[in-house]
Amino acid sequence: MHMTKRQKGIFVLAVALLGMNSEALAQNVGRCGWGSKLFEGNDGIAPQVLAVTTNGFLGNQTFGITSGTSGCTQSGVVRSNWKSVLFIEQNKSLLARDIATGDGETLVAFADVIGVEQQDKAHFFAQSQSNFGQLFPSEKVTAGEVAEALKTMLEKDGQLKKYAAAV
Amino acid sequence: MKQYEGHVPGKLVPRRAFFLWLRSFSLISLLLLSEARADKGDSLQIFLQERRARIVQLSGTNEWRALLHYREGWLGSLKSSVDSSNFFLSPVGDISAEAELEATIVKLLDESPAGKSARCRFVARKAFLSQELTGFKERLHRERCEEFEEWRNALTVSQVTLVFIDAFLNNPASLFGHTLLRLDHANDNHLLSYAVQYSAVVNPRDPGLLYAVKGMFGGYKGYFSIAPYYASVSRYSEFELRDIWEYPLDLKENEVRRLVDHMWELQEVAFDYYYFDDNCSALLAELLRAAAPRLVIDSRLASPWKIPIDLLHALSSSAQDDILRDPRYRPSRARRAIYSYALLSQDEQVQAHAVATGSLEVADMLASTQNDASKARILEFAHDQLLLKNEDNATRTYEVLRARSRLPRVVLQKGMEQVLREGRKPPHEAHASRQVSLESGYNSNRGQYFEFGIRPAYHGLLDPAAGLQNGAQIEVLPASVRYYADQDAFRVERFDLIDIISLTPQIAGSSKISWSFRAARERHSLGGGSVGHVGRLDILAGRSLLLGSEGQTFVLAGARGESGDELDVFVAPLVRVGSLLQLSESLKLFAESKLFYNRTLGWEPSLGVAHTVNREWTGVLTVSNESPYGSRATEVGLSLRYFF
Repeated sequence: MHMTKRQKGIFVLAVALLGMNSEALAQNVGRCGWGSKLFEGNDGIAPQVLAVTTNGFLGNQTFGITSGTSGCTQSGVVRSNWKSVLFIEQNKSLLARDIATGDGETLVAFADVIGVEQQDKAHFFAQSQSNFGQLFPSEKVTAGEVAEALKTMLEKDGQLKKYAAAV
Repeated sequence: MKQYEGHVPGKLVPRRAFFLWLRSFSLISLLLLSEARADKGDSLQIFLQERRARIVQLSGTNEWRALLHYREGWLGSLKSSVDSSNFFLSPVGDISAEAELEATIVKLLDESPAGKSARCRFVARKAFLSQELTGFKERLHRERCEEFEEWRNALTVSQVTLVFIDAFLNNPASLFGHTLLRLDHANDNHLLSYAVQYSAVVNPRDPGLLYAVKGMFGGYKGYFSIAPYYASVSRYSEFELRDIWEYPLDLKENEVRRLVDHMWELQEVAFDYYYFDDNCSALLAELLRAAAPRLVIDSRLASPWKIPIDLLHALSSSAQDDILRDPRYRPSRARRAIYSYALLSQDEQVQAHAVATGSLEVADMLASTQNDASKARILEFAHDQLLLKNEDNATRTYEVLRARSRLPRVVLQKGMEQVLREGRKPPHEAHASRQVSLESGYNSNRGQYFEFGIRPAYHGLLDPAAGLQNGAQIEVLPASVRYYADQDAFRVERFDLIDIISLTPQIAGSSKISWSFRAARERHSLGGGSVGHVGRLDILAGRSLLLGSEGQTFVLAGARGESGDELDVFVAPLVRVGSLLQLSESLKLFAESKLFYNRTLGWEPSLGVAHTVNREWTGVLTVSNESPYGSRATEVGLSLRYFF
């Protein structure tokens, strides 16, 4: 669903000349398949999610969502067991920032994705921050690798062990 | 051509006769099929006959018409905006509300597997009929619709929020902003809510020109889709640096339920997509009306132009029972970065810049800085800058975050959003997007004149910026007609296809370009006393700097192409230098000079001062001087502009 450079160029010109409305073309980046046929024949979800990140993990050269339909059910709702990986994949640069600083909206949202209870959140944030180097061993790390490392981190922690299964 | 049916008067009569015939035929055939099942068929027929008047009445209600997306065309004819035949149970359901209602009753009361699949698909219609048609609920076969229930439970919507995303001038598809609906769970993190979008599904293999043409003229199909809201925030706020306004909608519980039910009905359902009118805002309005038929179709949404901000205007009008609640403001990454930047000491600012650009190593900064909080602030701001820059800097970005993670947590700035929101008007308070104007003035070559101007959309630099981006002008098809008193003659003075100026100030180390594009036809003094039409195409790019808190000053350079009645076609270099200033809350000034070279050096200085009276009215004084073809003319005009 991405426009090619050439398409973009002509599109720019056409829009500029005619002053058209709205922004729907190429808008469906990262959407689930509800209302579309994007999902058809998409049976191997796991390899897709784990293999997608080829853009620089921490830079923002491109808007890096390449796996729009991964982890979605036919009706557009994200499958619970893929929620965490999909979240990491789509929020990688912000999540890295929040983990490095130990707080932030994206980290709070991620804690909610894996169901961290209120009383464990501060500990979860602190643990993630001090394990930044393990969670993000390099700028080329993939969402799947971050999820794996996070799972390991949670399993090792007495207080957070119970959340490991949700990653 | 299918999409134009029902709007072409000449085609109406034969078509209407045909569908009436077809409708009676289809109803009879459905009844015959039912009759095959003996008693039940008979009783269904009686059931329908007894309720004949009520069925006709229900088919004319707002509720039914909104659920089927009917729009009224010429002579009261109906046409659904849905373009998927599987959405209709009657073969003429797309143009006949009554035939579709009858067919729906028959189908939903059918006890065969086909009946179940319809009952589990058209859940909003089922609920509507159960409530409105006596005896329907009692006859309805009851069963579980597992897929639908699973889907509805996964959504568990308790609140619906209308999300408005500011215009993004650097992407032509986003010139007018964007709207989507967000479905919130109770007490949940809104980033994890689902967002409902309406968008075209394009064929990426289409060659460029075909792609644009199809997008504009209905060649692509539009679909509703849902995806986690964080994907929208990530894209719009973090990458495209656009402000987001989130308006909770005051919908009743049954309206929220109907919205979710109706969305299920729209699965796999295609609409014809048109940039001009059947775009995200128009279709979101239809979705909201299906949920809450009490909403009024505003003239703004019935007009041939529909832009996202019109949806906000339409919903905030007094006729809508205050459905829009106070919005939450989600400032873009750029705004948040500017805010944090202002909180750094001067020394920290310098160091952060140096770390971001690579002229200072992270390790050296850490060694030379004393306290941890200061180090953390420097690294966080350096990271902001790295994200704002469009460069390949993943390694440095990683290094900065890695260093930051080794420092203790700093308590976050609370209330940043409130501070950033102060003095900023939400977009529903912006001026309306259509404008007419009356002007009186004097031209030193052509004498006194009176002018009538019209602009279908959307914002000019001198218009009040409240609720919009200051320095972002998009004028679509502005045109004006003048009456010259001395010559007793009317002239088309100006007709532009489009006039865009995008001024993005350099802030917090960002490297954003400013640009302008204009395609216009104007009247000019051509020298030797003659006046003629000139077609112009100006394309420029450059830089803009912040002047005070709201003002900007800019330099743009590029080219102008011209051709006209008594002119050869030529292309000449063109430079624009100017300033846009907010003198007081209601007073705005725009001054610029255009310099260009066409055998001789020409310059056109101009000045405009606008006084905003209120949201509807603005008074503007303009003074300009031009000499493009050797004959200098000064013009002074006073205009009154009305937004509606």
